[in-house]
Amino acid sequence: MLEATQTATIDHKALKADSRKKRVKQFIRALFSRKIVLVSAVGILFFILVALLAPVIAPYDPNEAFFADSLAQPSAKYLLGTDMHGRDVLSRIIYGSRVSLVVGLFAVLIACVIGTFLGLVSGYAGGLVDDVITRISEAIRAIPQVVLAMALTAVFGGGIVNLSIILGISNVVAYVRMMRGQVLTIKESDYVMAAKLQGNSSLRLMLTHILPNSVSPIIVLMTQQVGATILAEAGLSFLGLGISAPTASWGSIVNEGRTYLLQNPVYALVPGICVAVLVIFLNTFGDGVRDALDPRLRGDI
Amino acid sequence: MQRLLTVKDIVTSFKMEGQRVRSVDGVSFHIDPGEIIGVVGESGSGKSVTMLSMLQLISSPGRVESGEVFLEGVEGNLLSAPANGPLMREVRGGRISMIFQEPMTSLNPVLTIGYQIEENILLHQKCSKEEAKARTIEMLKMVNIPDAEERYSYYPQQFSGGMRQRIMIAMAMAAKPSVLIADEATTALDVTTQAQLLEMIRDVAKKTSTAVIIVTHNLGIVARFAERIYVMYAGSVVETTDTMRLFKKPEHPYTRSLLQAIPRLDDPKDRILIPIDGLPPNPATRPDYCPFYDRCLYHMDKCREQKKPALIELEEGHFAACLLTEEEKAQKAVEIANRDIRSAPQKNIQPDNCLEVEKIRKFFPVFQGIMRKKIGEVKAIEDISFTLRRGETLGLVGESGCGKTTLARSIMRVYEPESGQVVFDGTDITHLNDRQLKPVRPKISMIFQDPYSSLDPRQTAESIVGESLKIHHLVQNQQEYEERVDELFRLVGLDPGLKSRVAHEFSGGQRQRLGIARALSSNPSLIICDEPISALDVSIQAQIINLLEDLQAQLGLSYLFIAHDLAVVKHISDRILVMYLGRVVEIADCLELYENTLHPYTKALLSAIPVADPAVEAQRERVVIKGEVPSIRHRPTGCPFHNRCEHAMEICKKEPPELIHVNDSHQVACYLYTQR
Amino acid sequence: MGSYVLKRLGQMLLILLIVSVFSFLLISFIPGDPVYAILGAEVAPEEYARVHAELGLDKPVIVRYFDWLFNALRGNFGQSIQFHMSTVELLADRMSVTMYLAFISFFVSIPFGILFGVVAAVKRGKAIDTVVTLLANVCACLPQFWLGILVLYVFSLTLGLLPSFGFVWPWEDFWMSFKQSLMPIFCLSLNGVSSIARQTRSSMLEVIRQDYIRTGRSKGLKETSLIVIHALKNALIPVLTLLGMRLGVLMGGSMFVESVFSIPGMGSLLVRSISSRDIPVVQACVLVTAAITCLANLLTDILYAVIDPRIRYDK
Repeated sequence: MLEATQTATIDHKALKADSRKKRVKQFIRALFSRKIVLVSAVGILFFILVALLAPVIAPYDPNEAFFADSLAQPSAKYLLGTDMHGRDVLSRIIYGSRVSLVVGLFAVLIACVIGTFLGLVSGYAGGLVDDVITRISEAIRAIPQVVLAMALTAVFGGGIVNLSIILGISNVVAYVRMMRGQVLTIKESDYVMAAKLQGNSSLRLMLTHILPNSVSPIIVLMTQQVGATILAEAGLSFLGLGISAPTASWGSIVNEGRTYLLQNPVYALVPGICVAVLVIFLNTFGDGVRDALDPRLRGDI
Repeated sequence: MQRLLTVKDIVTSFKMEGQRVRSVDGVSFHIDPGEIIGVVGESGSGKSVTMLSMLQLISSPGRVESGEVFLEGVEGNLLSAPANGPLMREVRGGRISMIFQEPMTSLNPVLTIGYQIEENILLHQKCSKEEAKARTIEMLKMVNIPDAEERYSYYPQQFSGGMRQRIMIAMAMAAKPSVLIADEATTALDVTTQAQLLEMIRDVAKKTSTAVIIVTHNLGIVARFAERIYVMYAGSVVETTDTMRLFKKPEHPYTRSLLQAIPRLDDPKDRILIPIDGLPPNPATRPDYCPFYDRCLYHMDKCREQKKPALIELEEGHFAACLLTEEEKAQKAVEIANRDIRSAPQKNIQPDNCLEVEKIRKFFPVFQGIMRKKIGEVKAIEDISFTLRRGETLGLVGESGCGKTTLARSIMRVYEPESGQVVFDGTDITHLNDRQLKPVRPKISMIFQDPYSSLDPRQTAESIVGESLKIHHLVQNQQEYEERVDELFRLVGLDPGLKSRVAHEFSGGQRQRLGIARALSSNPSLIICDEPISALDVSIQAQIINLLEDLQAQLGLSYLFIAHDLAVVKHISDRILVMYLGRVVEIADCLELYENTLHPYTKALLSAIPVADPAVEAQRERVVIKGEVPSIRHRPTGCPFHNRCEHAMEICKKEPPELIHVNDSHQVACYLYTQR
Repeated sequence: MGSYVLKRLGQMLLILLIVSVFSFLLISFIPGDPVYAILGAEVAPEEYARVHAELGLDKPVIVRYFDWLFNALRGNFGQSIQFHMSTVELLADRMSVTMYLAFISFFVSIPFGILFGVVAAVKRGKAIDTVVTLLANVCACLPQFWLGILVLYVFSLTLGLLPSFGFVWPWEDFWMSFKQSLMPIFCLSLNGVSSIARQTRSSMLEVIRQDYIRTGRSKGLKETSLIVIHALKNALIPVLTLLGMRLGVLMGGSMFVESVFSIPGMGSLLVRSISSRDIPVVQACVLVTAAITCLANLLTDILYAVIDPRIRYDK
């Protein structure tokens, strides 16, 4: 008897896992049903592989200076030429992908964690807490994002870690607003009312009913923001406020290269193309995720 | 004979998941000048799509595959004219007008209503702007919009839903069309407004000899207003005849079952509803044979073997699409009558009160300005008193905005009443805090109106039903938990094998069953049912009503049953409480209320509800009330109903009347019965 | 309507107050002695004393904030450390250049963006829709600084058609000014055109689905009048929000174009001030851009009320 029910339980657990697997499969099928999403996923994967395998595929050390060959034209030896210190541009671009991806990813993670938490608290608690959080978010939103990030670099300085934190902070508000809106909508829904009437505590209500139902829009926002963050990082580095020398980053390579546009246009233009292509892939993929997760938000790619 | 409008064999398909699915599968109908016909069917039966197809208003991914439409005075088949060509544009709005279901979204929010009506006139009538404006104002007056000249330049959102639907009617009639299609035009409105509008459409149509097509799911409406009826099921017309004959002698098994499944206002108290089992077929997987086969009580083997039956003329002007002969149907009917042995569930009403509500009030503050200064209060409910005995069902009726939901939430203690008392099982719960409420919570449950929004989309069915078992430690271990969840599934007629699914994998009716299982999980003694069936299709409603009745008999539950459909309330309740603008106007035993209606509002409310029987309809007395339910913010002083009441006296304007006992089982709040 | 504007104005002032606290605190966040941070470790004692007093570092933070705020309200943001001149004068000079370019590209991008968006939505699924959508998506991803360098390389360095840097006002030398500002305005507008087009297209598609469009069609309206009279006005409401934000983005994102084309605007001033830790200028820039953003939002809200009667009559 006992055994029988136990197998029933196990069966049931298997069923549950099965149905989750089915949903994941469905999601993946919906996501890749459009070729353009598949193409961008492959593209993103390519950039990630390049970043991971940089030491293997880069022909030279990115910081190794061949002074004799400074400002060389593209050739078989240096595929994209060299910079003013005689460093191989291709190797620097390959290593630069690391900065873009790492900063993009971490900044978004930081923004998401802080923003989601604040938004949840703000929407759920209401009252004074909500007022304070909302007003401060509005104030931060009033400062253009680039200006905010620049002002923060003035205080904290650049570098990969600081830049991730700074770009993270300047993106927090988007998550706060989104999460707060979600909580306010979901809080009014019948199913939360039902859960409350069943005697769920506030904390349980937030963690088991409100948070899981806000996950989709948060994921959508994250995928859409990785690209924007990478653009911002490139911009700051271009202005000389982001990644500091000698670390290679796409923005800073463009900045160095623009002085030598006539000698070697490839030097300044190729890293910019890398930024654009990666961001296009990321945004397309993000739109795909949005459409697959929530058909109501469906736009067109 | 030349008909006004003849529609032949319309087929419309939609592209769904790569394949073309026929949502209208060969529908034909006709209408003569000045005639009012009804097209009835459940959601998804293709009735609206037929109308849109006729006007070539189907947009991608839909497509009108074939069919013919002939309109008097127009040469040739309308469907072969280009969809947006000059001919179709002239027909739309000029010859055939349409009123849609959603009054809140069918008018353009950024244009004035005057402009929108005038536009229609200028498009189809040769006249100057001044003449068009004059006609617009005339139309607004015709549909009883007060201050028409001033309101001409108002925007849609400055009107209530009922008013907007009047404006839609004015707009549709403005260019003097010969056919008016009312596509579920009153479904979203309150019953008294619904009656007013339909009566107005009928009067205007008769005066101008406009033909009207009423498209609805409500059999009562067609019984009252239509002269001839088309019954649709799964994209086809299954039966058509004149109204009298359809209700007196329905021929198609679907029509018969439908009439047996819906509660009626004039039902005897022990009427048993016979639900139609199963669900309407999904158009994508609809079989070749009769689409009603699976749910049909009369079905025979031959129904499955032959193709979908066409309409057959049984007697003059009476068509049905069924393969069975008269004799076969009669024989089956006897079989069914013998087979169906469900008796009315035994009620067991105890003398003690499960719930006592004493003069409760709930006011909501109104804030204004940046500093959120309190500038007033909305008196959502005021001085509500009633009792509910153990095992009893109390029906709570009233139109939107009357405070039904606020009352329910005050009893559930989502809100804390400003004054008064809520006593549940002998405990005063009016001012308990969250911690003190915890032991009370499992004893009061709630069933929600919308089976879609009331279930957490991320929870599995099992966890929806089992959550409160864990919260309130109602089970000792995992094994007990599993057993109890399975038991609850079976109790509401769901297969426990489905419990690992999430909510959206269930149909509407099944979802509502899940909601009921959740409500039952904590062994409650009181369940508040907040419009539990109004979001469901008519053929599913009876299933849920029967389930609720059976559960009550089995578990001795008390129900507070909130609804706006008086026929349903009458069917399920022992006593009924009528609310108007936050106050109780009448409480009485069910039959007493219907046979000895006292309050003028209750009379109007009952009269507004059409009965699905034209013979009864013809004899009913009509009580028409003027105006619309005002917003609760503008509740008149004194008796809240006095400004719409034809018996209103001086005193009614000053003091709200007290609720007084007329006899043991009947209370009313009206000066007509105290001033005698 | 009047009270609505007043209410929004009040909210705006509150926001600016918070921004002022933030931008003031910037200086206190700088690790170590701000004077050394600004001037470097090897500084003459008299120079140190001058800057120390200028920053008011001998007083407590609260007092310093209010001193600074009252000065700021009176239009005094202190002396620029790098330029040794009044911050306000400096800013007024630079800001007019940035605003000139921002406004031109703002008004250039609106008609193009809306036109492309409407065309794409109306011709949904057709070739022109695919082209517009694709181009808009790609242009939204191009880094502005890179775009600047690209056109600079093509049109100035390779073709030699346009001057590669500098800025003169049109009343000083109209032809020169025109040639100089062509590339910056192109770079500033491209992003705007693509984002406006995307927003217009998606909100048009949303509006076309609405019940009232079906009502209009059932009246027998022509498709063109349906689009122009019934759909466009509704579809422009979300576009307006975007426009409100665009102005802030243009003002706050001017540094890239200014840096590429060596234009003496506010953006390049901010970059330079940050590099040289010229804190009073940074503070003023932050506050001014925030004020402009807020003002743009306020204007949007008022325009909203004009275009959308739902807001006008909402108590």
